[in-house]
Amino acid sequence: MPDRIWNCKRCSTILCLAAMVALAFFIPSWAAGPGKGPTPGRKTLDPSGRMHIKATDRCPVCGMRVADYVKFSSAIQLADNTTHYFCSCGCMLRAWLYPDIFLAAVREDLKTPVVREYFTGDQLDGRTVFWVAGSDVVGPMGPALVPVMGEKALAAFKRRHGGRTVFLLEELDPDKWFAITGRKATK
Amino acid sequence: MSKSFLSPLFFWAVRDLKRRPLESCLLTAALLFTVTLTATPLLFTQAATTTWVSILAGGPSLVVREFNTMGWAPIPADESVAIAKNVTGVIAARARVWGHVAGPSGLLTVIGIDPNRPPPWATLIPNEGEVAVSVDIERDLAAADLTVIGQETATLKVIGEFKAHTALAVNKALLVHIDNAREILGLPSGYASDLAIDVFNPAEEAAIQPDLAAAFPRPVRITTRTESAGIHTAGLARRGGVAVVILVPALLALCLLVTVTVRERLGRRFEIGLLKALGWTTGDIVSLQALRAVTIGITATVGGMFVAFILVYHHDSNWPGIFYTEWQNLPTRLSFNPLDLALPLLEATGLVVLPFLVATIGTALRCAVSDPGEMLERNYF
Repeated sequence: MPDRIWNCKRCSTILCLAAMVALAFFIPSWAAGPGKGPTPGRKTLDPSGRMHIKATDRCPVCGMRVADYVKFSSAIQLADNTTHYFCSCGCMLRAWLYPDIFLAAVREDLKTPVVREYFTGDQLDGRTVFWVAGSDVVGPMGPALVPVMGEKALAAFKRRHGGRTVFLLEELDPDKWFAITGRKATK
Repeated sequence: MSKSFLSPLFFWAVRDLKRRPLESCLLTAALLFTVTLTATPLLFTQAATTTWVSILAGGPSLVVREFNTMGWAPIPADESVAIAKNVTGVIAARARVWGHVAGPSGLLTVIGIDPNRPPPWATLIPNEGEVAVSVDIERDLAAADLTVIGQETATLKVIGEFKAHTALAVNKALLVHIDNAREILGLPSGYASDLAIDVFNPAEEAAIQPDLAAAFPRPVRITTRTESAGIHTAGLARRGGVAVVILVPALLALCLLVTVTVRERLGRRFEIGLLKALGWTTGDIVSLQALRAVTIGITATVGGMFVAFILVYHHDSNWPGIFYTEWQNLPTRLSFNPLDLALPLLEATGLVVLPFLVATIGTALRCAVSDPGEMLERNYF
C-alpha cells in the first residue's frame, strides 16, 4: 500500500508539499535548539538606549512580530547586551517577572527594561514610569498596561482613559500581577 | 510510461472546448466582460481608499479651527501653537494658512508655504510673488502668470507644476508664499486658517479632544484623521456600491444568457447518452462538464481581473477619476495593495463565475442521471 501511494505521482506530490509545509512550521523551533531559549533581537539597544526593531524580531512571550506593533513595543536588555523585543508592555512585564521561563535567563541578568511612553512615544527606562492597568486602552494582546511619564501625564491619562491600578515596576511581583490581571504571569 | 499529474478528463474537457471554438470563445468573453464590469468599480474604490488612507497617514492627527457667529475665524498662530503644545499628548502643532479662491476655471485651494520651514512634501518652494500649481488647473500655458481672486486679487508668476502622481493629494491647488496667501485670503498678519496637531498614539485622536477644546479660549471644531479618512472613503465606497448595484441587472442578464448557452450545449443529450453507453459513469460525465466550466471560469476570472487592474492602476488612465470623483483630465496614480484585489476577486467570483459553475454542473448532473437508452433514442442530430 505505501508503495502504491509513493508510486502515484499525484499522491507523492501532495505528500512532498505537506512535508514542506510541515518543515516550514517546525524549522524555526528546531533552529532554536533545545535549552537555548528564544532568539534575541537582531540589533541591540543603541548607546542612547533606543530600540532597533527589525521585521524578523518576534516577541519571546507570544511569538508575534514586534515590527507590526511598534507603538506598543518594548524591550529588555540583558547583562551581555543582548536585547529581546516585545510586542506589548504586558509581554515585557511577564518576561521581567519570569526571565527563566521566557528569556532563558536568570533575574540577575536583567539589565534595562525599555518602554515607549504612551503620550510621546519617547523610549524610557521602564523603572522610571508609572504603569496603569485597567484602562480602556487596548494593545496587541488586549487590555494594555500603559507606561506614562510624570504626574501630569498620569492625571491626564486617568481622566481620558480611566485605570484601576497604578504601580511602579519595582512594586510588581507575581501576586501583584495576579491582582491586576486575574491570571498568573506564566499562563 | 509516466502518468500525467492532470486528470485525463481535463484534456477531454479542453478538447471538448476546442471542438466548438467560437462558442467557447464567446462564452469566455461574455464571462470575462462581466467579471471586468463587476470588479472595476470595486477595485477602484479599494485603490482610492488605500491611496486616501496613505495620504492622510502623512497628514496631521487632528485639525483645530476656531469658530464664531460668522462661521470659521482666523486663529492666532503663535498663541494657538503654544496652547496646543501645552496639552498632554500633543507632540507637534503647526499653524496652517490655506483657503479657497477663484481661479481662471473655478474654485482653487491656496496653500501658504513658509520658505524657512517648508513641509517635507513640498517639492517646489515659491518665494513672494510666485506660485506652484497642480497639474489639473486649466490655465493659459503660454502665460507665465496666474491671476487669482480672493479677498484681494493677486497675479503670481508660475514657477512649475506638481508631479502628476501627487494629483490625488493636491487637487486644484496652488502653493504660494505664506505672506501672499494671507493677503489673498484676507488673513491678518500672525493669523492662520487652522492648526494641525500630531499625537503619538492613534487612540488619543478621540480622547484628547475634550482637553484640547477646553484649552482654547474660543470655541473650536476639531476634526480627526479618522474622521477625514471616513468622509473620503465613505463617499468612494458609496459610489462604488451604487455602480455595482446599477450593474446587477446587466450582470443577471449576462448570467442568464450564459446559462441558456450552457443548457443549450448540454441539451445535446445524445452525446451524454452515448458516453454512458460506452461505460462512462455519472461522476465522469459531471466531472467532465465541471472541468470544462472551471476552465472557462478561471480563464474569464483571471482575464477579467487583469483588465480591471489595468483600467484602474494604469497611470495614464484618467477615466476612474472622471467617472467617480468628477475630476477632469486628471491622471490619478493609485496606491496598490495586493489585499485590495481580494474583495473584487471574491465578489466577481461570487456574482459571475459561481452562478455559471452551479448552472453548468446542475444541468450536467440532471442529464447524467437520465437513462442512456432514452437519451439515445431522442433524435438530437
